[in-house]
Amino acid sequence: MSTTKFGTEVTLPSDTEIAMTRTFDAPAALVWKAYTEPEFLRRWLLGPDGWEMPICEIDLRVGGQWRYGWALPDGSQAFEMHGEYTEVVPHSRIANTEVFEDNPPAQTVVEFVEEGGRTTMTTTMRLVSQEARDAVLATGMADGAGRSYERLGEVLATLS
Amino acid sequence: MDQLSVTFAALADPTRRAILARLTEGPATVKELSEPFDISGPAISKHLRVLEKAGLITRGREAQWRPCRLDATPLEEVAVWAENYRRFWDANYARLDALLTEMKENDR
Repeated sequence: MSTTKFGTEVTLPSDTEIAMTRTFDAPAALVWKAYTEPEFLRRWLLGPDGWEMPICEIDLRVGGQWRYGWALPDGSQAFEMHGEYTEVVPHSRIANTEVFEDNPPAQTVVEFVEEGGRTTMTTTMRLVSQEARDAVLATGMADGAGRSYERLGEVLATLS
Repeated sequence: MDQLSVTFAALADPTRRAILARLTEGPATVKELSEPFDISGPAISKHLRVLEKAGLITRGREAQWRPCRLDATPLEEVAVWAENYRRFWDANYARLDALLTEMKENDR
């Protein structure tokens, strides 16, 4: 159940989880730093081009809270997420809850594995909230190109 | 459960994915569908019911023959979802690549 398109591997370990794996050409300590320090995190965790991350608060310890907020440069379309850390193993593993709007909390686990100076980061999460997902779907449906059975074959290959 | 969750649940089983892959080639009977698998007719029928409930296949009316056909609609939703998801994260990771390069240089 995997694909390596764009270098980011997306897998479906079960019907409630989605996992993403990506390797970076840097040691785990550095990837960890980029992931856990607001100064660095807000420079890359932005989604589509043009977004900014005005809110980025991280209290990295078990029971500590995190809060991320995004918006367009003029402050419009702002939204945010927050949660609590349930596991913190430096340079190796972070588990946290993730709350988006009124949805029940999702669980996310991020693992960092270093090998030969490179680090593979795997993020496993329950399927995104219905509202977040609907927003994503609405965006995708907007480009609405007709899809053939050939395309569906690709999808099945992706999932198998 | 919402439609996408039902679709994901139906797709979570390798036999059901193989059945769908076969149906991309055209309609087939239960007998034809069960041939590649080392499982009983009733077990295949059970998988077909899950797929039918998820709206991924439709079945003919004829009592004996009942050919199964793929219904692509719910898969399109999954395809769009997965593609958007991957695109979203790939943009993030490309920026992270650049940032890590910069951080490595500053470390020196």
